[in-house]
Amino acid sequence: MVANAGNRQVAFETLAKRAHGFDVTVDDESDDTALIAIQGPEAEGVLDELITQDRLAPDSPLAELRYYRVLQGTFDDVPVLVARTGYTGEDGFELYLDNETAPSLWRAIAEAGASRGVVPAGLASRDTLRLEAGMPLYGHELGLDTRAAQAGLGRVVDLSKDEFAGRDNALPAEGARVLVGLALEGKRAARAEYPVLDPAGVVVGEVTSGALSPTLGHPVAMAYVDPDFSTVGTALGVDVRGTTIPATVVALPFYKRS
Amino acid sequence: MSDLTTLKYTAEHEWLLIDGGTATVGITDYAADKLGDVVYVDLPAVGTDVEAGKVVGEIESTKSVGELFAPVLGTVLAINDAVVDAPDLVNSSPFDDGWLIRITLSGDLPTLLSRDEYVALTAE
Repeated sequence: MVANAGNRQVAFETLAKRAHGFDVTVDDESDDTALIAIQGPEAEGVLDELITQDRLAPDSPLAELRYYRVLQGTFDDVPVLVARTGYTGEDGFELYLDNETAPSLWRAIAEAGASRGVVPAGLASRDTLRLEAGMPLYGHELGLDTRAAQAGLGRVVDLSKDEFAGRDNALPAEGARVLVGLALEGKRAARAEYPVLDPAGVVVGEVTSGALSPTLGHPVAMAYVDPDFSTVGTALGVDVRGTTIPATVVALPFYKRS
Repeated sequence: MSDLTTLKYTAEHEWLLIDGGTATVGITDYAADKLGDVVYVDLPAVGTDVEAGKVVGEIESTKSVGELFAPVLGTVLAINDAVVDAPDLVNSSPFDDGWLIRITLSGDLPTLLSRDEYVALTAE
């Protein structure tokens, strides 16, 4: 299990509590484990290059690894877990291995990927990509009080099962604000916590994430709004530090890879 | 480009061109580069009284929102309308076409940095 870094302790404690009475141990391996993500359409080609160099050796063919699946393997004979996952909305992989070997894998990816445009990317890049892809993030769109249906994540919970931990909190909450996408005019970003206004200027929601979308050329934001204002096409406004910027409810994701 | 050694600087990354009783103010290339692509500039109205160190406007980039501080005591004599219409001038011409405000000075100038002192500051 890989938790959002900010949730490491909460996830560990919750699992440890649940494991009580079962023949299960829960370990937190975070401090010993490194994660390197390589994201984008060229990701598979770059890892193939490392396979050709006899450095990366997956236990089964990379090309057969489906989205959100993992396989085991080695890098320079050190165990590595290869997951076809990421939080960018693009194809890509996340590679888990011990801290000591991680810098060497990083350099190998950088060298093998140089001709394919691989560059180091920071958190702001990742955050812009996941926003364009309409992916909710803990601390922004998601919190301990958020219900899955509110955040557009109803599909990840199978309510046909009679009983499971957290079932009550997975049920949609009547009248609760729902997550929508907003497209804004101009160039100024609607940032987290800015109020969302109806045409009369009444606050009907709050922005959770926003940026000027590099791909689309206009600002995009995710916001929780009252259900009455959540229909695609609804004209709203965002209070950007005292100025109301026109915004329209649009379908998520803002951008989908082709 | 202006001769950068004739300008004065602040630790808040502003430059000043002092000419008699007026000061033209902008932000440095260093600050513009750190901000990234500037998409919005909010400037004070002409006639506004300003005080050194007080926030008088904001500069928003794709990455963040930065505050514009008045570097001296005085009154806003003019603002650069061109930069309001085309905020990317802050990136493309920080020391010339990207100037922000012109202030009529009142009273004594505060301590300002020379080019060498400013460059030393940003090299840290």
